[in-house]
Amino acid sequence: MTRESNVEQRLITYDDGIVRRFIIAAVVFGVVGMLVGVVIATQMVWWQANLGVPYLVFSRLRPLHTNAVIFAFVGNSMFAGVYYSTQRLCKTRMASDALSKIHFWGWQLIIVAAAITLPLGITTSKEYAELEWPIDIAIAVVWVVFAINFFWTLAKRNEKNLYVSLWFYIASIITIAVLHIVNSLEIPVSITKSYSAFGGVQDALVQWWYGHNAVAFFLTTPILGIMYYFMPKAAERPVYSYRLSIVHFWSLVFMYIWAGPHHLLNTALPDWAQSLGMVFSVALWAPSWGGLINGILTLRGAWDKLRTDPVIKFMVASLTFYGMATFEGPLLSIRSVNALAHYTDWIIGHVHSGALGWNGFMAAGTFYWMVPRLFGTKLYSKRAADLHFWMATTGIILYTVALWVAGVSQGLMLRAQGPDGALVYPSFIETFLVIRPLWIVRLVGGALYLVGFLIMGWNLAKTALAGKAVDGQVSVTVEERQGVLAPTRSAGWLLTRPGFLLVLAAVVLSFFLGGANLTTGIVVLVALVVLGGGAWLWFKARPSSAGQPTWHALVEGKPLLFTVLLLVAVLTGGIAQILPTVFAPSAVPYTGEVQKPYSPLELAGRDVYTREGCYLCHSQMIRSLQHETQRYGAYSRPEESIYDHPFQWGSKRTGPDLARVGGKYPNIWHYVHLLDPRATSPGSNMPSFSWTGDYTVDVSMMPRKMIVMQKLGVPYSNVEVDAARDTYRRQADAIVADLANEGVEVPWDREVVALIAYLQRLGRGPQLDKPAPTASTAVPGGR
Amino acid sequence: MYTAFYRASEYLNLTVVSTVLFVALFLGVLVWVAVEKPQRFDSAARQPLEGDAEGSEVP
Repeated sequence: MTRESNVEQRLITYDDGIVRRFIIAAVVFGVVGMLVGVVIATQMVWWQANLGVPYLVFSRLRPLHTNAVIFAFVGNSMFAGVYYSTQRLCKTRMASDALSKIHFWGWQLIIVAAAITLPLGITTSKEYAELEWPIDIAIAVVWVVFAINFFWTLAKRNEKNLYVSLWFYIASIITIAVLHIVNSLEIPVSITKSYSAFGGVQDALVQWWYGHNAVAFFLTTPILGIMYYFMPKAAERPVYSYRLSIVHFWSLVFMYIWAGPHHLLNTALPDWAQSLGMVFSVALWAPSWGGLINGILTLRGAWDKLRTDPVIKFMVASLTFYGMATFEGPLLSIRSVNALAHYTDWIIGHVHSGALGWNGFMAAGTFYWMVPRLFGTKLYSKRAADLHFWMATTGIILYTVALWVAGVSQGLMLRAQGPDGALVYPSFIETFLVIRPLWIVRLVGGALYLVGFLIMGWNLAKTALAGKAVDGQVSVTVEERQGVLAPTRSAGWLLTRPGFLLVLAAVVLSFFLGGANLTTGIVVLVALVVLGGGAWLWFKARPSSAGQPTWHALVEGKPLLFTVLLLVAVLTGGIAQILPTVFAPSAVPYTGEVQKPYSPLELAGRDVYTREGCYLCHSQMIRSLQHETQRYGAYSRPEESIYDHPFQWGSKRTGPDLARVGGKYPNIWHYVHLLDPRATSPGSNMPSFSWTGDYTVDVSMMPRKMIVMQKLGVPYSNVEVDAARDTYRRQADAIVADLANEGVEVPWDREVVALIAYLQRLGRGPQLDKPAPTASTAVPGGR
Repeated sequence: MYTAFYRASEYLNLTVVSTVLFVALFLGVLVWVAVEKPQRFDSAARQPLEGDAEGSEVP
């Protein structure tokens, strides 16, 4: 439709108040998140630092640390950068101040809810998605509010094209929504407890599809968008290559989504999914370094600023850490390298070079850019910013190098075999004692980074106090539309006979090419639409000349089309990898008792296991590697964990694998170990979980939990559900009697009894009517 | 083991079709960007530098 229009000049005032609020929140929660990190790093070396308080134990604080740093610190700093740059790139104020405020306060409430629930042990036990279902719903609602505000702002923009930063923001908003919703599918048992809709290998695949892409689309793509905006601003020159940014963007969003399975190499995940994840992870190196080169070379001709401008200094260092992390990531995704590094501190070091170096430094660079401008003054102290930079850089280097050495050392020790083929270090504790000094270096590095961050907070606060809040303005020429004159084009062609025949032909061709298979036909149809649309845009954008928009510029001018293309790009990998496994037939091969559902007591013990975060230090996944099977027993098979909602494969071994710990030790060993780990495993850094001997299990909840499990496909009969309390009591009494024989009196309804039952179950069938292993079967030094 | 796990699954071919689709589109964009004239992107690249008078160095 064409419209009459009047041209007028308008002064736009940006909503910079929301940017200031997000910066303050980012700094405050950054301090909290990093402080918790230092506390748990201390506990790794000196377990006593938990003061014997359940809420301060490592395994409950570790999710708080990761959630606080990822979603509170990086999240708030990302939102600050997005709100600041989106308004300026669209030359318009955010569409709704109210939605901006709902987004801000909603996000902070979610963070507070996380800070309360995680130390209480209210957790789903899915890494980086530990928050329980009511908070999951709140996250989805707040994210939708953010998305509406963002896309509404794009719709009312006063700039024809969408700059590359905005593409990255769109990618982040859309993909995080998809990831969060799918990975959070769960059935509630109570207000504070739910079970994942997926189980075992399916849950593992969905979780790491989410986990890896949370890194990709929460910690990387929005920060790249911020880099593409602030780097040219700080360097006072356009981005080095806009063409490279197009390749960078599309290849990154296409490839990232496939890479999740590299978190599950050599596990029970099917080989084809592992190989696909590995190949795409290695290929990711190219687009990642494309972005790195584009950012760094934006400084061409302005390298002198690196000496004087803290903004440039932090951004260049940030990109350098991004380059190192995105080289190390593909390297770690190679199956043989991963066999050494996975479950060790190398991965923790890798993650922190990204979080502290890439995210932390980019956040600092943008804060040092924005705060003086948001308060109409100069940065309070450049020297303090320099001090922050060098303390933080030293801290990161100490941290990552120490954990790299620790990871490689431990990995090599765990696989070392003597001339006779036997393990050189059969006791896991031996490897821990070797790397313990390196954990002290890590602690020093982390503490240095935190002090540097506090200096930044002080510097920014002094800057803000020296000025007063000012909102940016821009003068724009806008067209005021006045009514509809005449139609020029419409989608009515679809209803014409040729149009109808064309659509029909496309559908028939799709199903013919798809071998009359519904799913393949739909995929082929989408492919035809995308390729046909691309060809149409290509020809529409001809002839190629400097004044004519490219086909990509035409797409950029249409946010809805751009978002649809992006969704196709992102969903392609997700659907291809996840659907085959998630919709695999449930009739997996029957291999014995391991596939029988947990007894009520074992299920209760499993809930205690997830609440205490045992999975954060103990895996339940014996990889198909010789030294692993030598140490822990036969490798884990996919059908063994099909009733695990959620899965408990873990991602780090601070202690040994537990997949086949059942029957390895007598009940009394587990009892003593849980209450005083060093009594059974001298030198261990495992905290005491003495409160499990005092807390009681709410046995009345067991039928309800089993009904939820029934809904998830776990084959409990109604008779078993009805008899849950009696069955629970019978099995608990047997364990209590066994402990009494060893001189320990424990009431039957204590959590420790359930936990022992669960641990004795791992790797074998239900232990309902079986005698406990005797002391003679214990394996000394196993931990 | 996996053969049994995936027996009768009709979704495995999705992986092949999606991978081909992905590679075709990606290569298409790559070729286009390589042959396109860089001058056509100049105005888009300058977008962050337009519209305000914010200086470069920390004030």
